[in-house]
Amino acid sequence: MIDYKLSNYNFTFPYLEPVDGKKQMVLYNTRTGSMALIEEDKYEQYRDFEKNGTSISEDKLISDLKYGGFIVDNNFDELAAIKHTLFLSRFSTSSLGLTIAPTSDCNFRCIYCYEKDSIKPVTMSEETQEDLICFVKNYIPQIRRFEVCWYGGEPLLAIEIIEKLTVAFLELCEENHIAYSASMVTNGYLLTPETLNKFQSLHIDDIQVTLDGTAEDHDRRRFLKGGHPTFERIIDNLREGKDLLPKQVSIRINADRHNIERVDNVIKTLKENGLEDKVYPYLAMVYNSNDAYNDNSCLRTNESSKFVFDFIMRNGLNILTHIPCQLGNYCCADRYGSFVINADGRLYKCWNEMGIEKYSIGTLKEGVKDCPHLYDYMLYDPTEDSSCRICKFLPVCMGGCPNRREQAPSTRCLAMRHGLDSFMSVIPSILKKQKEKNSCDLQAE
Amino acid sequence: MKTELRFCITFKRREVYSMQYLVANEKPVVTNHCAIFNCGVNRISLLK
Repeated sequence: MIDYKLSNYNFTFPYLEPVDGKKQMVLYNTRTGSMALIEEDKYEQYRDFEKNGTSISEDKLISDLKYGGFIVDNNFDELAAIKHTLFLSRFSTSSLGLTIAPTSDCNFRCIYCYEKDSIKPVTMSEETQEDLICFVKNYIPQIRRFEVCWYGGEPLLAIEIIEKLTVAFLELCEENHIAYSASMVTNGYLLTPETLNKFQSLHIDDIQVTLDGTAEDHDRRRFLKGGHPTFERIIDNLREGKDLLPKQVSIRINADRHNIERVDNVIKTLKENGLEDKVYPYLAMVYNSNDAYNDNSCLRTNESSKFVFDFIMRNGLNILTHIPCQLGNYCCADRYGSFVINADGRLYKCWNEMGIEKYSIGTLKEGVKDCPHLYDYMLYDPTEDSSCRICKFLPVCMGGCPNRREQAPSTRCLAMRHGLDSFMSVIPSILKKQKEKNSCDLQAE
Repeated sequence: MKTELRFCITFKRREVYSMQYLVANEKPVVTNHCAIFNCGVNRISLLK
């Protein structure tokens, strides 16, 4: 009797380069993240089991397939395992993650900004800062890690608040042996060498800056509130401060139908300014969030994966960062210990909702309140969702973006589901070479 | 969320399988961030 079954989360792809003269296939499993090369004769056994239920004759192959979760015991419930992983992650109390807007003001007026109706010249008051520190203190006894992402508005408009809060956070963490880390999403306009000099003491070790293609494209889309251009100043800042940049700097390129043809210009500009080894550029799609942009300008989810793949290949970027990750929770919206905090002290679960009061789930002073919106995010279970429970991408998608699930359900799914074939035509051979190099390095040690 | 660690651990695993594993049994990612807006920050790899 066969006591094993095929995983519901297997994908197979041809491996384009023969290994030792033998043809190979790639097996990939989204639940375990395992990826393996399998010789053609062994693959035939796997295939015969999949198609006809014929038992696999080699015990070694059975144990190898089990190792990566490509086959599982008959009584193993993969959906239950995914649900368990989700709940462990979602309701974990081991870390606190705060996305903090020290100000809800911004010096930019980007054409697609989903916060454009929420931008207000409000800076976090001293009272609210004290409330925030008290809010963090309440979590201190249960956490081992505290992560802050400085956001806005534009966070560098309120650098003095960031400095003051960081001192308080570091003191709390040191006293209680809690690991602290910080990141920042900034438009880069105020990212001068003087400011970058402060980042080490602020423990900010990764930042994100956005550039939208050519200078003309960028300045048409991301200008100052008076309409002035910003591209040149941002590039000057990055170049002049390149030796002070944190170890992780990502350059986000927001793409839509109006600039997609010219996004490579960002790579060219980064190279011209000696920044190619200092930053990681990535292509992201503009969405019409909060009805702030035009749907017709946006690229569709099923198109975006191809654009991203072609962009990576044309520019020789690292494709390995695009291997889908198995998720616990999806994001801050569906995690117990994650909050988005606006400058006025209101709490939210999603970055897209900051400043929109109807989505607020409480305040720093009064804490989290019981509200349907919170439950929509925290109690949604993709393993019970009729579409998701039969989807092979479930472990790497977990139902997709919670905010889009409510605002635009057709765009919620992982874009990669439309382009996995392309990525898998390249990734395995890169991983194999990397692995062989690593193995050589270990032998040499 | 440290994606880079996933691969470093895998590459150091001794090869003992008849199938050649390139990545095996990775741990799920737990994140406090927005997965859409901040995806670049979270997915930087040391393998660059």
